[in-house]
Amino acid sequence: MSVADISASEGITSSRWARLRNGGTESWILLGGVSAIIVALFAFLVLPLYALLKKSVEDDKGNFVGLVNFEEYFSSVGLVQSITNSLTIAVLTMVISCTLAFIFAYGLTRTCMPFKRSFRAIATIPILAPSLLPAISLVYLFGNQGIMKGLLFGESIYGPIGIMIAMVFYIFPHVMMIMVTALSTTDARLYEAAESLDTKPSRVFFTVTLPGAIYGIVSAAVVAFTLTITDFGVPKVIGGQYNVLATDIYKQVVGQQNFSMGAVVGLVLLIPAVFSFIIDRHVQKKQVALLSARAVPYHPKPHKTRDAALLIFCIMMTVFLVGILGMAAFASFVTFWPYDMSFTLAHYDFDAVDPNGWSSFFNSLKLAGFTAVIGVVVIFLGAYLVEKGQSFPRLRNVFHMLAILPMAVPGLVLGLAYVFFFSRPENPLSPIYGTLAILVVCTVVHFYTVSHLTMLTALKQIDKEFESVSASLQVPFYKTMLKVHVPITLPAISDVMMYLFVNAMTTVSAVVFLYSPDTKLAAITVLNLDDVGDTAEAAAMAMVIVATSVTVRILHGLLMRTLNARHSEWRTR
Amino acid sequence: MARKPKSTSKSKSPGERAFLEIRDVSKMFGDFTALQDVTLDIHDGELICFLGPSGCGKTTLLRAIAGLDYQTTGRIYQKGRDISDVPPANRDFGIVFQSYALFPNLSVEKNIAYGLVNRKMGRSKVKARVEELLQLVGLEGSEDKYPAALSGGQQQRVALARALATSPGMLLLDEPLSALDAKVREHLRHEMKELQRSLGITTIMVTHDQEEALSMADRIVVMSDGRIEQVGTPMDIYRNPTSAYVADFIGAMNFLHGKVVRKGHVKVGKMDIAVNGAADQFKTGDEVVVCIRPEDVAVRDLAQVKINRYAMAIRDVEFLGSFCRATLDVGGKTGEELTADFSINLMRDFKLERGAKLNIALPKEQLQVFPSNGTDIPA
Amino acid sequence: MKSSVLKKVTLSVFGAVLAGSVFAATANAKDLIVYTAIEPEELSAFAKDFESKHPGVKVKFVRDSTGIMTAKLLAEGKNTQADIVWGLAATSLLLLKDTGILEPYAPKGVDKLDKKFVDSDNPPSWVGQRAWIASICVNTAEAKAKNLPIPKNWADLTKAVYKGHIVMPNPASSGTGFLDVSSWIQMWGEEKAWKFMDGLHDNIGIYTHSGSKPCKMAGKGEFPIGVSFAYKGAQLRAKGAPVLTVAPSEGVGWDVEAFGLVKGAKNAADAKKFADWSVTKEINVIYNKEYAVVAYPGVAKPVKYFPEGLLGKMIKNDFLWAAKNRKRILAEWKKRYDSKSAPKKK
Repeated sequence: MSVADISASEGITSSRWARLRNGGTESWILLGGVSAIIVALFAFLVLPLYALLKKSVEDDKGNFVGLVNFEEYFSSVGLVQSITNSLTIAVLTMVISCTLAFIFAYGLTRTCMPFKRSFRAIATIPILAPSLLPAISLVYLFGNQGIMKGLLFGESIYGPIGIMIAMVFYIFPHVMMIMVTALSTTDARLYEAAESLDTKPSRVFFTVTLPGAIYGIVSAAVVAFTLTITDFGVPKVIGGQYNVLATDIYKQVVGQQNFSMGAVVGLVLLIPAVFSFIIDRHVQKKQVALLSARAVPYHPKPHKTRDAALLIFCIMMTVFLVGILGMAAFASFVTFWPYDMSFTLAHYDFDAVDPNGWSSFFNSLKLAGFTAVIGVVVIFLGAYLVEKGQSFPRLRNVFHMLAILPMAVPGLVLGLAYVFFFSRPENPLSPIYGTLAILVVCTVVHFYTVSHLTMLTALKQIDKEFESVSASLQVPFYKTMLKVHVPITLPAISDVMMYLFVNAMTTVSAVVFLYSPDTKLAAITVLNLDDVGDTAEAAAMAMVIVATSVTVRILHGLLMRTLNARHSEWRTR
Repeated sequence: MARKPKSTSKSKSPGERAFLEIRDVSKMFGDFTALQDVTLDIHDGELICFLGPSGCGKTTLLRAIAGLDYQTTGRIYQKGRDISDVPPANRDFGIVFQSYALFPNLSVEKNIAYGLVNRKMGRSKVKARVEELLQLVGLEGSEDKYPAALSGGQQQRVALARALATSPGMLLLDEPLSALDAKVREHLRHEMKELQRSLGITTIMVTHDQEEALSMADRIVVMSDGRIEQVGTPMDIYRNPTSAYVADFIGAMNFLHGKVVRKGHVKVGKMDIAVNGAADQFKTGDEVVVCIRPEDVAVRDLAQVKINRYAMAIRDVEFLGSFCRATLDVGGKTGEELTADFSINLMRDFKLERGAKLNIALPKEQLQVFPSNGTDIPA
Repeated sequence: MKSSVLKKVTLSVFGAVLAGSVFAATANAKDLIVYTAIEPEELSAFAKDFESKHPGVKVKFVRDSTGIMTAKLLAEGKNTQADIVWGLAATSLLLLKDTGILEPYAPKGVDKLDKKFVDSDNPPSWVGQRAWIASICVNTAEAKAKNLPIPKNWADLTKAVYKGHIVMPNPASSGTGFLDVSSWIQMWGEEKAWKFMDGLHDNIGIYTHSGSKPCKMAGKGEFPIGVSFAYKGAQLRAKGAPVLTVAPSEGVGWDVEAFGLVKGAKNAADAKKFADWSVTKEINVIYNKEYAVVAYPGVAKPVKYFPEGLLGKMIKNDFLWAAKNRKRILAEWKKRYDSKSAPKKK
């Protein structure tokens, strides 16, 4: 119906109004819905980003100073060094994580090794942890008192090595899942053809396997790069004196309250993120074309050496992932590392070490709950309007573009943009500044794109004539939406809620500038605890977050199972 | 023209307006014209088919009638009421799609009752209506099944029942049978026609399947490139196509390229074909095509035939089950061919086979002549 | 039919409740917003004590390190949410006084305090609570294992043997870090002090965000030597960590934790109550639990595990000078040491 989209807007204006009038409530609801979401995205995404841009060309008093801030930035050796550092770390992490994830995914998709499901499940665990956790854990593992310090051959974990190892842990699941998808969507006939031509396995790999997965690999690389360059938790904890862009923003804004310079660094950080985003969009389009080809699924045949080798690799990778998580868990129960290794629960008494202690955890729960519920409602409605709304094609296009945009905006930049936009008393929305509401809004916007695309995919699979049928039966579209679309897309709805919840629990970057004493979050408490050297308590709080996410994920799994059982009559999965 | 028995008034009194009037409807998709100045009357109680290849605008016209995609210009009147800018929900129709569009999470009963429940109808009344409809489409006892548990044909019946549930003034069918396999399709074709006739509901069906259109429709609207080519009864369309396009699109047709040599005569290759009145509109020297359907090529009883009688050789024979399609050599430098359908009987009687020679006649009254500068004429 | 109406109602109620509770999370007008840099683990005890004496007032601490809090207050200026700035370095309060965001107020009983701890203006813009004093935390176990001699003075820290074994707080974010740098300059003059810091920088493992972290890291042996403050070292020792708190012989920097009311505070009444409570003898006793020097004369008792002769080594600290030169010193420090991997200027 994409052609139809363009058309309706070209009708004669008078008849457009007549149609709107005749459409009654329904048309107005549709128009209202699309407009409301566009206005919301403008207010909560576009305008804040504009405020950030504006701030970067102002001095601290708000006078326009042109590019003075940029000049100052680029003349500061330390700050420019951060760009090099950030790029070095991002590129190296990208290469390492993509290589590891590719081999891991290869094991999961192209071998007959055992325990594939378990490997896959374990490899996704890092998603449930804040990025601070691997960094804290690495201090225990490879720090000067670390139990495996020797493995670093005298190098310090505080710096690029630590950042990279922690990053690989943190982004591994993201990269791995893309790789698995890329390697799953191959055409078995290509392999049969290669085999019938008696091709060497290595040649098959380079001529069939790699080219087939190339878009997935590029996509994974882009994700790895962006996540690494924009993450702030890891370098904050374990970066030592190795400055990167993300910590520079924090230092400029929180440490020196130099907001203009923060804005400048934010814009600098926006460049690689937007660049990656464009590459990714481009690649995604191509990948879709590749997928639409009619392919025969590939079923690996047993191959002893290959299967054994990959099994060993996957075990090692799992040990690495579980080891890091386990180290943090272990450390959180040790009385006084490394001198008193007896068991204690004392580090979980957060109120003793932080004025916001446990309350920050409950704030996080609230934030995650609200983000999941409010977010899924908004995201569902948005996706529904884009996909199923039959009128206002131009508005819907504008909205769709806005919905994709958050992916290109790093959390730190978004959070900073919010500070500039919402803290101004003349902004009518300023009352939400310092409340949980702004954290919810910021988190929903930050994680909007992936959720939106998930929801869109689910809705696309629904017969597009349902709206027509419902109109012909004179049932308003919103009733059909609730009665039909919502139940059918329940798995996607639940996935999106889960995604939003977990991310709201673990995110630091977007909210670190926005929390107030009443709304401090668990992940920020982890950061603060680590700042004052209460590492065990920081590890403990991180574990509380992980435990919560794991619990929610298990509940989600159970819910899905019940749903599938209850709907087995009509749900074909 | 087969009219349904209950039809109130076929005899249109001069002042009376048609059930649905489509006036100068055009639809643009950007620069692409999907419909151009379509004007059409649809009568109360008839089953009318929009027939044409994909992209001809038939579905676009149907969606404009439903209000699902508004026309760019032009007006549509239903029972005299201007519905041009009325959204679908405020029009009066039921619709069935090729995909059936059954709600997968609702039982058959709930699907059929979907439009009823919204009408503040009592629960028992709804139930009774659903039962009645299920009986009508021959699916008694399937209330509690989910669509996934039904066959394609059954799903289509449920979709039909759902569309009819609210007793709409008009039924719109968008390629309703094309997702079904041949056997089921033929069966349902018949059933749906029966049902339509007994309910007397004005029905518009969009299809690209001419057989479907010929067998079901009261009238057929042949469309191409966003325009109406011809409107008429199936017989009319088949026997008297008004354009080479229609002639080609409906059924099989021979196109013999020639030149008008004198009034009523066209020269095709070496053949001088008498076409009489059919070519009255052409001047001598005009390039034309002479059309004849393969089954109209006569072989028997040629003794008394004086005109349009030719000896030809069979170049090839294609066995098609109940009959054979023979390719005949017209002769002449153009190497033009003529296809003719011969019954098995005839084949036997005349010992027709590849390479055999025979005499055929092109009955004057079965010939159509069209200008050959038309774009749609097959080479 | 009915059920769908019901569903609609439930949905909208649900929505309203959701929206309501999100916005309800706004800070309560009754809350007393206190900006502070005091060690977080102490805060709940202070809040409890105050709230027990003033039921109905809820204390909300906004806590970060001295440098952060100072920068935050300077940036927020008169729009700050704070009702009272409490437990922040006197150096910083002097700066704030200059920007005019402090409301002069003489708490009831302020006359009983040691004059040195109170702003000389009347009414005073800031009132000191207690002093915290720089010290070096040394992990004796690790020092022994690594064969490191126990440093006796600041100069020792530049010895090659300590390379990579020292942590110190970043003066830009940490008040302790700043008082160290400030004290070195006051003691030795600019040139010698920066030369010392150049040498120290070569031995630094990492610079930390907060002033207590170096001592905590020393406690855990992560880095055996932490430039920190006496209270932290003593506290860790009391907990059983092998930490020896050393008072360097050249003299130690110190600063006063002080408070000041914010002009135009939303909750000025409660802020005054908080100020009054902060100068009582009772609260000074609590201050003394961890800090050896408090504003109320005659209260202070020696604190266990404090290094001997610490008080005698406190330098003659010129807060005014420190406040005036703070910006310049920090800029110079950042230029020299902020990025360890950046090219060093010698």
